Amino acid sequence: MMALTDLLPDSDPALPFFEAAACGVLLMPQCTYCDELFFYPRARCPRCLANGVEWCWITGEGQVVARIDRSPADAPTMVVVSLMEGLQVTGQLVDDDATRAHVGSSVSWRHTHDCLVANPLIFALRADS
Amino acid sequence: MSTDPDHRARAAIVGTAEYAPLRHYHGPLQSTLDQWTDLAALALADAGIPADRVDGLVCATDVYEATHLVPALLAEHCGWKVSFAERVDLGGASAVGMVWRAAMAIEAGVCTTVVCALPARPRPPVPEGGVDVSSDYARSDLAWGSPVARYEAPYGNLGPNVSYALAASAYDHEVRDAATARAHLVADQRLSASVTPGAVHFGKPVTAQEVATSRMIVPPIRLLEIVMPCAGGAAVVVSRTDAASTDRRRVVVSGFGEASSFNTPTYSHDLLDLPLRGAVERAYVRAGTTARSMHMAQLYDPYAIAVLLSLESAGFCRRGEGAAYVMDQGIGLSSRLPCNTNGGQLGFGQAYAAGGMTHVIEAVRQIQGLAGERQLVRNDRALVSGSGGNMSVQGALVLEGE
Repeated sequence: MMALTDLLPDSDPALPFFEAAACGVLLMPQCTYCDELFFYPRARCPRCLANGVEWCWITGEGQVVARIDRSPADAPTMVVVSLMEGLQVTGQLVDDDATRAHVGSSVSWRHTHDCLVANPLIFALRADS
Repeated sequence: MSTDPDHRARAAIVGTAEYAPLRHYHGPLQSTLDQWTDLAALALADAGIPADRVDGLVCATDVYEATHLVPALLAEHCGWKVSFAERVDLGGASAVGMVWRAAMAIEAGVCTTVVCALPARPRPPVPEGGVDVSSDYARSDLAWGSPVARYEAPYGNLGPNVSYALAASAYDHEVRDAATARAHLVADQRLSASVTPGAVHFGKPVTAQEVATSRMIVPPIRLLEIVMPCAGGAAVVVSRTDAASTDRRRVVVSGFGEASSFNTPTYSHDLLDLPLRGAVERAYVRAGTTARSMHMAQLYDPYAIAVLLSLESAGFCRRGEGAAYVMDQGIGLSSRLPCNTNGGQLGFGQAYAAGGMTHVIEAVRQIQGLAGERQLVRNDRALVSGSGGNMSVQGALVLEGE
């Protein structure tokens, strides 16, 4: 199956995010002028509109702030996760943990080899929560 | 010229028209251009204003015989020479946004008589091979290069059910018994709809128990907490207060505000603090009034959770207290602050973007004393809200009877 990264031009501002995530590293764009960390990737900083971006490794740890169960019952659970670096992202919970992670639960990013790189933001309940 | 103490021209809503919302429309099929024109004619007749006095028009994104230059097409179709031609792209906040843009243009002296209309009946079918531009709008979230297509759709974050269920899940975590409060406010609105002729749920109240046990759609949201799409349409005429002579009480657009900072709520700083807060604050300041002075609130209600969040964001109670507010005093016709007095969209029906105009028109009817069995005794001032997308762009009007 063709990956999203194969369809994006080299100039696409999101290319490093998708390429790194496919290799098991979660990178987020950070403004080189005002240091704002932001998501999603785009050509200019949404705080100061400068156009310098560097890529910042983040832990992938965070807290569920909203979640819904989809129907049919075997569809993945969708979540909004507030990452400890202060970003909010839309993602999914891995299926086997879906019934245990609630709003407020601690989760961490899980690199899933079996997912398409088009949706790398998959989270799992943290073992210690 | 009618002025306020600052000698500023003022604008009032002087005429309205509304097709009764229908779950299944079986009447003659017209183009949306012809529906727009028909609604305009009905609203002008209601205002007692001849068609050749119109010098402004505002439409939204629901005319499907073109994708751009729609205002020019409407001026041509209606035979008007206008000095203000505007198209508003704010989803469910369009109606409120159309009214205040018309008012602002009138206050600025750009025009005197503006028609705002929202057609929402089915159109004649597009034949095989014909160009159907409405499909472009339907697929807009999946447009190549769109952040929604890239960062939301792959995870299932598409469509309003999902967005509002996410907000409700966050609210339920923060607030006790929120599901019970949602059920009670729907029952209050359905009771108001049951005495509103033309409402989809006219004569059909429900109990809070029936709401709370209706089919689960997207947890935690149940069937009777969700609007049903309807065919319909609505229009208003906004006029400089001295340009329209009418027997009816003029409904002055005394305050307005708008706010937007995200498209997908994931990128808001706080899922439960709506942009409406800023819009309402600006509307109150402009009108020189406060939440406590409102006699009614017509709050945009695609889902019951939206009403709880709007009560908080509009300043009627504090954050997190919406559920307790509803349980303590209710929002029905005899409550301290009656809300959605025609049943809102949950009870009256949601005719696409025209559903937002339902809230405006109900406020006008209440202020003019034309609300029949549901007429409020205290009816001088109303807050009206609008909300587009996924709580993404929101607007507010303060309407006052003269």
